[in-house]
Amino acid sequence: MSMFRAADNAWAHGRLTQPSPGFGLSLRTAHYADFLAQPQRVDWLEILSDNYMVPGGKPLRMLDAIRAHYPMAMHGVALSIGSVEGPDRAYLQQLKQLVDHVQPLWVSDHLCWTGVHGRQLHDLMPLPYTDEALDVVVRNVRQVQDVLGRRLVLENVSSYVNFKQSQMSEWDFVAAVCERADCLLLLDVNNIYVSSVNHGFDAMGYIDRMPAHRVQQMHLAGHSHNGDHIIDTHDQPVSDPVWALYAHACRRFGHVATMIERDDHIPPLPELINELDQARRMAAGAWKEAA
Amino acid sequence: MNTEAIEAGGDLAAIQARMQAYVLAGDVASDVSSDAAALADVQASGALSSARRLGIYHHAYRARLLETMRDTFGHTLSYLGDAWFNHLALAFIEQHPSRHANLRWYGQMWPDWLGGDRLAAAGAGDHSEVTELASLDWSLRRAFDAADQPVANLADLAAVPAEAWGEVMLEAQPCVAALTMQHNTLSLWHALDRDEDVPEAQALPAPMGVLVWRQDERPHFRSVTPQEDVALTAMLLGRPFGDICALLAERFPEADVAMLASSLLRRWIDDGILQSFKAETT
Repeated sequence: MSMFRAADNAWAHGRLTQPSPGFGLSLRTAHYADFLAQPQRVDWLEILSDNYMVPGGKPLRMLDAIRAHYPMAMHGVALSIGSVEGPDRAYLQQLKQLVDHVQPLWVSDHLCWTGVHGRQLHDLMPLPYTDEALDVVVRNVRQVQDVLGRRLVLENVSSYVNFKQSQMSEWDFVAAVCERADCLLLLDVNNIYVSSVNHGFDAMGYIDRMPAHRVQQMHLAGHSHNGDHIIDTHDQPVSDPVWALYAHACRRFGHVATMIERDDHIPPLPELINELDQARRMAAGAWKEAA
Repeated sequence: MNTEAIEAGGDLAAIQARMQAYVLAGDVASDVSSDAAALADVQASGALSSARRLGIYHHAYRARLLETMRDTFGHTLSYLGDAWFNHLALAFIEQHPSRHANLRWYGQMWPDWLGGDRLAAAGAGDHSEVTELASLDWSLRRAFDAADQPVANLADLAAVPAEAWGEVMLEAQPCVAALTMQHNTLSLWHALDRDEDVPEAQALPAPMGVLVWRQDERPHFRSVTPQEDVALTAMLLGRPFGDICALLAERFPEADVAMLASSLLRRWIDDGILQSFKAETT
């Protein structure tokens, strides 16, 4: 039996994604020296686009030096794809300039809004799952895709509120955005888990409802327990329930690019590479099972 | 600060406006209009009430901006200590909603904001050196990722025809900033940077100019003489070289202006603070 059968099945169903570059990490300044000193057991890197949307100086020089040795995906936090006003034109142009410079594997941002009326909340604010919000997001995604000349990859966010106005579930909303806007999905397994605990839904069922042929990438990350709810803090190792969900996602989606996100309490690089090896082993096992 | 009208209705714009007003409201318990409006949109489920659910976003907004300011104003933080820094930064955050998508710009107004009687009003006494320390932190951070431009070198200097010098425009690198210190703020900064005993803040006998720039990818600063301060300020205002020399002659009649100007040029070339010359050789 082929290890690649699950992926082959997905391809047979018209997979729209690029082939997986393997297992990656988010590039953090604390690890610049490690990546420049010697080759690391990391297949690709994800950069936080906004950190490099700066006029010049060391950040861009480091980016260029490391980009020469690693494929990169670009991940943004401020596109605000769910704003009624639509994406900020100046921001979009800056993003396009960076895309032209980096020539990334793909470009992602979050299925959320980050501020309206000229204010910035610097957070991934949740959307109500309404027909109107769906229309707004689809319109905005198309606009971004027209400017960038490529499919946008959108990430599901963790959320702490559900709106009374919602007309559908989050998973139906995410799937509908992907299909109607013809965009791709960055499935954050930790975010699904965090929201499933905070809202009380079935995380496996969420994964089962995702359009497999549009899953371009998966995120793994840690979270923090805060008494009666959990917060998506990205400052801990990946937890056991998230590993279990990841295995389920691997069985369902096959070979999808996987990346571990760590934004705070950033450990030495070898520690993160060990965690990435755990993802490699878990994925290999899940693919074998699915074959 | 809640200056947006609270919109009614179940459309996306109204829901977002209400949630944003809730997040930005300084004291959600006392801001009845936004409080009630956003709470009514949110489903309470499980053990968490609507207020606690929205409260997560309310807290995260302040925590993220505070973290950004603690990072940007590192030496100011060391000088003030956690309690005073957080108190003053959070007060600023309540009054200054973020307006730029990139967090790197947040806090630009904080040094000026500190410059009023904020510290005295907060019960900290008169400490105007704090404003200068914050300005220095901010300028160093901006120098770090300012735009890259070709750096003028000695060959560029030599290539300017002698007769063109009067009209030559010296253009500083985008990373360059000129500050004025009334206190021994540079000594404070160095002591904080080396984790040494911080000297007592003292007023200087006369204001001192400070040049901030980036060289070899690292931000630098140094004090400047009164002569260099005049020349630097004139250059940053876009005055041609001839005007700068005339200004130096006027302000420092005892100085050998030709010698002074050429030594300043040499120093600026060595520091890498000039862009290539724009000579008007008509």
